[in-house]
Amino acid sequence: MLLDRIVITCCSQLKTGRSVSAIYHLLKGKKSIQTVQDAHIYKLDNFYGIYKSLKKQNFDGKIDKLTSAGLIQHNGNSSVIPTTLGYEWLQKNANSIPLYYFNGMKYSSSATIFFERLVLLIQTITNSSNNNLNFIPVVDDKPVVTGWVKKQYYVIKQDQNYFLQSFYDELYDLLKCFQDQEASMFVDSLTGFKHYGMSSYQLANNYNLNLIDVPLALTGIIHHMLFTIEQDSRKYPLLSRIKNELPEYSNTTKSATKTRELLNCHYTAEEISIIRNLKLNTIYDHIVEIALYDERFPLDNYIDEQGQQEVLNVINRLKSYKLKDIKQEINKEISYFQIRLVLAVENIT
Amino acid sequence: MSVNILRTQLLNQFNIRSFREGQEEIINDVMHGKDVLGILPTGSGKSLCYQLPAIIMEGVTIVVSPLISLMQDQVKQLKSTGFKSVIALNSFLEQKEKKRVFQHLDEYKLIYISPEYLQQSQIIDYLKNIKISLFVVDEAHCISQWGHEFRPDYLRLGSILEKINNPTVLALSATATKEVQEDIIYSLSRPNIRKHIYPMDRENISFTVQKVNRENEKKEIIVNLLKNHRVPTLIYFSSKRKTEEVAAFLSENVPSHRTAFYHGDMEQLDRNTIQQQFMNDQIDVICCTSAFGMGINKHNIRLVLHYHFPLQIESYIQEIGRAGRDGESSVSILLYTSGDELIPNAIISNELPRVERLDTIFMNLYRLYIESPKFLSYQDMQEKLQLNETEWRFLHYQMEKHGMIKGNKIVYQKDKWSNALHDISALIETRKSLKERKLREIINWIHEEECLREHLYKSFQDSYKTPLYGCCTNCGFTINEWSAKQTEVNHSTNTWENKLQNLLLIGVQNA
Repeated sequence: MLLDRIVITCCSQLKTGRSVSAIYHLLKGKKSIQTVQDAHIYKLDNFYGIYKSLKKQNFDGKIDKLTSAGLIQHNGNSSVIPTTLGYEWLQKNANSIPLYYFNGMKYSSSATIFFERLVLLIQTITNSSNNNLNFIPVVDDKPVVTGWVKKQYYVIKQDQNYFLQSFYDELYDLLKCFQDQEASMFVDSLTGFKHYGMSSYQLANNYNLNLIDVPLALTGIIHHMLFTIEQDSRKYPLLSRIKNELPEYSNTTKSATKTRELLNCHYTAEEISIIRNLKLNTIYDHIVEIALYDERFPLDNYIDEQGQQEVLNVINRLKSYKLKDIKQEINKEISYFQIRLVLAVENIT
Repeated sequence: MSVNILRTQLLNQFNIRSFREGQEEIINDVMHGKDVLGILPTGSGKSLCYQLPAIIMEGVTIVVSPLISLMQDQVKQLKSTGFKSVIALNSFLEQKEKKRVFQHLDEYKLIYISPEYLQQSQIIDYLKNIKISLFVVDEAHCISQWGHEFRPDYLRLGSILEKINNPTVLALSATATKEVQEDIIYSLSRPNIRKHIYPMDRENISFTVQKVNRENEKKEIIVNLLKNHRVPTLIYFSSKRKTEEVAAFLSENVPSHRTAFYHGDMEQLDRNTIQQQFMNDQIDVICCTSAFGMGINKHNIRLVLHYHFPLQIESYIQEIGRAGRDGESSVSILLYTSGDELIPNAIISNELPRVERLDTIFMNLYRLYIESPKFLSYQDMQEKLQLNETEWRFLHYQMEKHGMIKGNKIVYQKDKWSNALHDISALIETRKSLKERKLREIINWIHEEECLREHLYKSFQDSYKTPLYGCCTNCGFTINEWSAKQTEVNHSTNTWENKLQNLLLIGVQNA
């Protein structure tokens, strides 16, 4: 149900612009420029990387099911759009886990770490305050989680009761911002002393969800938690700490970061291509990626104002973001690279 | 080493006050450098027999273990008791980490390793240079052709022992017939090994075989049984799909019970969750395949059902042996309907390559040889020859043994190949008929009209202990007369606020 809603919403945004696998890459959070650009251009950045464990076969199955239910339809060039029925269905089923909870572009890399730290911290402190240090930790193979919890533990150990009480108060306030079912589901997934949290399968059973929606629902809840904590961080000092001490994360790929360093040293794309021994088109990809995130990207260095305006005019006339269509309608002097840069910059602001 | 020091360590590290049958004798022998073959029943604490010496003795203890998940469970459990210098070496170890670990092998006290991993010459070279205090072969029946999980790499352990300067050996198993014991001793070339064989019969388990006409009757029986008993229960299946299907059926028809399924295709995280919930009595019933159970140490499992029966008596004894480790009255129930034989028959015929296919497989290998005698990667070869994993594991070992594959080369000699073809065909036939014989044994046992207990254990030992509770259906035991302590459940339906309070121990006085 939840995945259905998200997939149909994605279809409605992408329209005929992109193929159906673009949705899959988006949900998986593929670190390719194409996917990141899709997220921005089609205003789907909230869904970026929200379902990293999604399997291709399950996704394909979902598309087939939605198609045969008449909610979406295939459109020649392997793209998929919602039917009228699909739009109606979307309207009717907007209740639990609102889609605005999701903010994948912002939280997809930190949400899992935040949640795992929270869970492991609760398991550790509740066991420790029962004088039981022989428990099998729910997470034990990620230093970014376990190392952090260990450090916290030495501080909290001094006054565990105080910690538990304040932690309860904060979580209580935070969960009050959610519907009861959402709050309950979240609490059921936590592990404490002599109590193991529910598996995906159990949550699906207890809350009448499809198994495939469970990870998504939890992700939505966690994203909205992160957002709520951020809005009023003074109200949630402990939770803010879990959230804020996350490792630095940059949205740009490693390779693009290197290219940016060279750009900052005033090398041209062509020179960087030689220095790095990479194809010029790869460097172009990097620059487009940088343009997506850098609000002060010097677009004028790459295409003059007249050219920029021309690209925008064509887009407005065609009502399409498809590069090929735009290229055909535009002055031959303007390259694909320049069109992509305009798209990247225009859509982020 | 004095008995007192042993006992002090026992208490400190494992929080155990006394040894169970066999443990102390085995530990004493290996600590005096004697090779030991230990056959101890499931749930008798086999692993303590090497974990305790590993802590006390100088040097490293190597444990060869057949299942990666089992290794990981044991490492986790040891770490949770505060024993940290332990590691599992298997294909999951990352390249970067591997290098670091290999260079510091001697800093560990206990190294779990899979027999496949132990074949790498790199690891052998490292092991040559450290002091190995004890070399343990866990689930040693895997060594044997007659054991139930034929693993060629187990057969190579004998030559590996030589390469690493012949350390003291401890071979452990829960089920080994005399045939299997001889095989183990022969493969390890340890004719003077000390045998510590303990009877495996369980006097607190009552045996029930129930024959039904249709499969659906099995479900009805289980539903009725569960309605009368809420006790920790395992139900074994041969098929992963069935575990899910019946678990769903039970959740619907016995809503009072908390039911889950467990099989090898589930995510590790979900598997851990189910295990831990079962340990904590948060789950009453688990529908599982044989993947569940090894290394699980729950003492109060009361009921073990078999919806499908396993391929042989050894597996059955292991699976029912998970019941009643605390000594309280427990029951095993095997449900049978005619036609159940089809599943094990299919499993057996898929385990080894079919003899009729060997010609083609050899031909394909020859073609590869003509292209280039250089051996592709293990996986690529499996793909090119169109074999499944167990088929290829078996054939690869056989081809190596017959000199068709040497290191990373295919070696062609006409005579050798035709001999090999002949030998391997014969071996497959032998193995197949052996498995069929094993299967007939358990089917015969199901149809046994005399005492089930006596006939279950007869090929392992000469006698058995007097049962403490009901003996078996053939001796007059019926499930209706059985009663056991019921699991208590807090029925109040809680709001999330209450649950959160309970979880975070709010309102509970802490020390």
